[in-house]
Amino acid sequence: MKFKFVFTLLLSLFCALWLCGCRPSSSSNKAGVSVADASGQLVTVSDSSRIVSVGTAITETIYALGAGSRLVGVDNSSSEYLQQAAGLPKVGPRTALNAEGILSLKPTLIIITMDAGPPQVIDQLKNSGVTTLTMNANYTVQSVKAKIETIARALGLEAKGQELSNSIDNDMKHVKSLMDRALATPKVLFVGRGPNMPNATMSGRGTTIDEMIRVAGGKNPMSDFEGFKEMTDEAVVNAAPDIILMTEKSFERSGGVDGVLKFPGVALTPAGRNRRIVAVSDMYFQGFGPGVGRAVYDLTLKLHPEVNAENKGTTSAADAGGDKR
Amino acid sequence: MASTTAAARIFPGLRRKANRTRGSMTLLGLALLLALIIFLSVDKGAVEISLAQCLSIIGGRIGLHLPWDFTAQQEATLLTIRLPRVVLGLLVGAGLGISGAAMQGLFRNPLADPSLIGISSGAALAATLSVVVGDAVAFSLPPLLKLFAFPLAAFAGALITTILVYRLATIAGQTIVATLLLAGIAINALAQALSGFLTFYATDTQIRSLTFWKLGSMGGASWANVLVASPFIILPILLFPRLSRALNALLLGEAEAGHLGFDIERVKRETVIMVALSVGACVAVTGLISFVGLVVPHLLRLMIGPDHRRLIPGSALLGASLLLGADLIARTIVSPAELPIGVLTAITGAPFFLWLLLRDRKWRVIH
Amino acid sequence: MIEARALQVAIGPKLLLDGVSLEVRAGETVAVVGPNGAGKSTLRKVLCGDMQPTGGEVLMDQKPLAEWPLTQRARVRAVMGQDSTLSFPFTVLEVVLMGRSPHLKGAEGERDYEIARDALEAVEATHLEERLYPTLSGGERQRVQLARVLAQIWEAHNGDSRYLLLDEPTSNLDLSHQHSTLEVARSFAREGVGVLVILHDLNLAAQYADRLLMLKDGKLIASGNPQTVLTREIIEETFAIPVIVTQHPHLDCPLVLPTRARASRKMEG
Repeated sequence: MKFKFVFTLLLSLFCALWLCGCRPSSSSNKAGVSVADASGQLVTVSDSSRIVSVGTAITETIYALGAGSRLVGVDNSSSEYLQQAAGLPKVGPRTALNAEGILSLKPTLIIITMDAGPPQVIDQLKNSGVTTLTMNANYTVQSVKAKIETIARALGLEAKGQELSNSIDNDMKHVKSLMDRALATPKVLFVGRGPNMPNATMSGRGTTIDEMIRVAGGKNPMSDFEGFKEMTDEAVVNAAPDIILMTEKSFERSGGVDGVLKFPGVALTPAGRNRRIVAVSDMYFQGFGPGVGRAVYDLTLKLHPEVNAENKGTTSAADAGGDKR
Repeated sequence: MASTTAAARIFPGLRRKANRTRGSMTLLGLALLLALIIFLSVDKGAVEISLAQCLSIIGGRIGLHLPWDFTAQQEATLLTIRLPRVVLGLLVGAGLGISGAAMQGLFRNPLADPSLIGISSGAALAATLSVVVGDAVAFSLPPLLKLFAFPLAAFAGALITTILVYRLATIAGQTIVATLLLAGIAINALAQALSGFLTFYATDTQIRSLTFWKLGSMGGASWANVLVASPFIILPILLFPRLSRALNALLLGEAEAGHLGFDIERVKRETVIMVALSVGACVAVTGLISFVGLVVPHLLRLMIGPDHRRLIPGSALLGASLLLGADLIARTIVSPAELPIGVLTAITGAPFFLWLLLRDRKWRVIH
Repeated sequence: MIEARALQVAIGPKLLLDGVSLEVRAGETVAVVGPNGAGKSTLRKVLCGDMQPTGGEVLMDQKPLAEWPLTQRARVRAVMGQDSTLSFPFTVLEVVLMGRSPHLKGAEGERDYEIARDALEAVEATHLEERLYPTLSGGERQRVQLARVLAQIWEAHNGDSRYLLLDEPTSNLDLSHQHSTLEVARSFAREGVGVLVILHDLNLAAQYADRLLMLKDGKLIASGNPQTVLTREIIEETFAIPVIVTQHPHLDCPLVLPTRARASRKMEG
C-alpha cells in the first residue's frame, strides 16, 4: 500500500532527526572570570556585553551596577516593575520561558533566577553554549550582598558591586539605629492578592516578606507554614496582627482600607479595629535586590511610627542609597 | 453519483479503485503536508537560521561537509532546542491523534477525547503525584529509571482513569454519552482538586512543574524527553493498525463484532492499554494539550470516512502536522516569548467542539 | 447442524429459558415464534454464544460452541441481532464489506466487492450503495444489516455447512420487503444453509418456515411443520387471543386470523 511506504519514509525521516540528538561540540575555553552559580558550579564569563536577565532582583542589580545598557532582554516582571527596563524585549513570564526566543536576542550572558522555568528551559540554555549563570532566589538580606557581588564580578564591575554591598550594610546600620528606639515588636501579617486571584493569600515562613518583616522589627504571626496560603477567618483572628502589610498594587486592587477590612477575619483583629494597614512599593517584594536596605528602612519606619518623629532629617543616607538605583 | 454507480456496476473494479485511491491520495497529501510543516518548523524560529545553514548543520552531524557557514550559536539552537522540539511535537501530535481516533472507536462515540473525558487529567495527576510524593523515593532510583518514572506514572494514571471512565459510562457494551461526558467532568474536577491538594505540600520547584503540566508546553523539549516518550508513542503507532478492522467492526456493536470473529475483550483491552501508553507519554513530556485528539479524527472522517485502517495512520499524520503547526505559531508569534501551546489548541479546539455539539443536535432534530 | 440440548437460563429465581431443545439442520428454515417475553431473543443469544446458558449446551456441527475458534465460527455462521447501532458515517458498501472480515487476509479483494454488491442486490438495496449509513431510514438499515450478514456466509468455506441466525429481521420493513427478506433467507436455506429466524408474524412464519418452534414463558410449547404448530388451540393458549385458523387460499400453509373484536363484543353481550 502506498501510505505504508510514505509511513516508512516518515519514520526514517524521524530516525534521521533522532540521530541529531547528540550534544554539539562544546565551545572553546576563553579567558574570563569564574563565578559560582546557584548550584555552586563554577561558570566562566568571558563576555558580558549582551545580557538577558530573568528575575526582577537580578535586573535591578544590573541597573544599580550601571550596566543597564548591556541588557538586551528581560522577563515580564522586570519590565513591569522597573521603569528603565520597560522598553526592552520581553522574554515572557519567568515561569514560561522560551529558550530559542532568549537565544534569538543573541545574548553573550544569561543571568537567570532559579525559580524561573520550566526547569528544562534552563537546561536548554545551559546546553546552548551561551554562558548561563543561575542565581538562587534568596530570602535573607545577608545573602543579597553575595548575589550582588557575584553579578558584579561576572560583569567585571567588582568595585561598584562592593559599593552597593557596602551601602546595604550602611542602610542596615541606620535600620539598627531606628530599631534601638523602637518600643515594641508589632505582629505584622502580610496579605496579598494577585490580579486574577479570587482570594487573598497570606505569607508564612521562608518568604522574602517574612524576612523583611523580621528585619524591620516586626513579627510574622504566621510561622506554622511555609510559603503562601489562602486567608481563613480563624487563622487570621487567632494570629491577632497589629498591622496588615500589603503592596501598593494589591492594596488598590482590594479597594483600599475598607476593602481590606472585608478580608476574612481582618475586622476582628487589632489591625482591623485600628485600621492599621500599611502599603509599600510592590518592588520591595520582587526578590531582594540592591534596594533591600532602603526597603527595610522604609518598612521599619512604617512599622514603628513612634521612631519616625524623633528621626526626621537623619534618613538622608538611606535615601541617597536608594536614589542611586 | 448515479452514473458512478452505473459505471461501477458494469466494471466492478472501477469504483473500488476510485474509493481507495481517494483514501490513499488523501493520506499521501497529509504526509506531504507533514513533510512541509516539519520543514518549516526546522527552518523557522526566533533565531535566524537559513535553510542552507540548517542543511550544513545537520549535514555536519552525519559527517557531511556542506559549504554554508554557520555560527556555534545557530548550531546549538538548532540541535539542542529546535530539533528536539520538532521531533517531540511530531511524536506528541501523532500520539494524541491516534489515541483520539482509537478512543472514539472504543467508546463508539465521536465526542470521546482523552482530555475531555478526564484521561489526560488522570495522567497529569499521577505524574504530579510522582513529583510531589515520589521525589524522596526517586533519589534512590538509578538515573535511567528516574527518567522513565514520569511517563510510567502518567501511563498508570491514564490507564486507571480510562478503565474507570469505561466502567462508568458503558452498560452492557453500550456507551452512554451523557454519562461519559459527566464522568469526564467529574474526573477532571477530582484531578484538579487533588492536584490543588498536592500543591499544598509541594515545594516551589514542584509547583512550577505543576503549572507546566496544567498549561501544556513544548518548551521542555529535549533529546532526553524524546528518548523517554518515543517507545510509548511509537509502539501504539505500530500496533494500532492491527486493531483497525476490529475497531471498525466494534462500531457496529460489541455483539456484532464478536459475530464477525473478533475477540472483543482482547481488542478493548489492547486499545485501552495503547491509548493509555500514548496519552501518558504525551502528558508526561508536554502536559495537558487538549482537543488535538478530538479535532484531528473528526476532520479526517470528513475527508476519508471512518474506516480505521485509514483513519489511524491519517490521525497520526494530521495530529503531528496540527501540533507542529500550532507550536510553530506558539513559539514565533510573540517571540522572544512564547504562548502556552495548550492555550492555543484549546482556543481553536473548544469552538470546534461546540460546533460539533450544535451539529449533532441539529442532526437529531432533522432525523 | 446447530443443536441445543435442554437449555436453561435462570436470572435469579426467574427462568428465561426452561429446558429448550432444538435442532437447525442444513438446508432448512426454522422459525421461532411466541409472545413478547417468551424468551425468543434469549434463545437466539444463547444459540449464537452471546449468552451462557445456566444449564444445557449448544453444539454446532457436533462441537460445543465455545470450542470453535472465533474466526472459524464467524466464517460459517452469521448472526443478525436486533440492535446494531452504528453512528459513524460509513458508506453502505463499507458496512456490507465488514461482513467479509472473517475471510480477509489484508485488504478486501475483487471477490469481496462482488459479494458485497450481490448481497446488496439480494436485499434490493443496490441503489443505497454510496449512501452514508447513518442517513438511512430504519427499514433501509435493517436491509443493509441483512446484506452484511449474508455477505459473511455468501460462499461455503471449505465446504463446511453454514448457518444464519436472524432476530426479527422484518421488524422495520414494509410488507413487500418483509416478504423479500424471508424469500432471501429461504433461498439461502435451499443452498444448504441452516436458517433460524425469530418472527412475530405467525403468517410470515407459516409461509416461509419449514418448521416452527412455539415458545412461551421460556418453554417450548410446540414444534413441527406449520400445520401441526399453528392450530387454533395452541395459538389461543399461547397468545391468549381468539383466532380462526384456515387454509391459505393460494398457498399450502395455514392462515391465522385474530378475532378479538367479535370476542370482546360477545363477552359484553
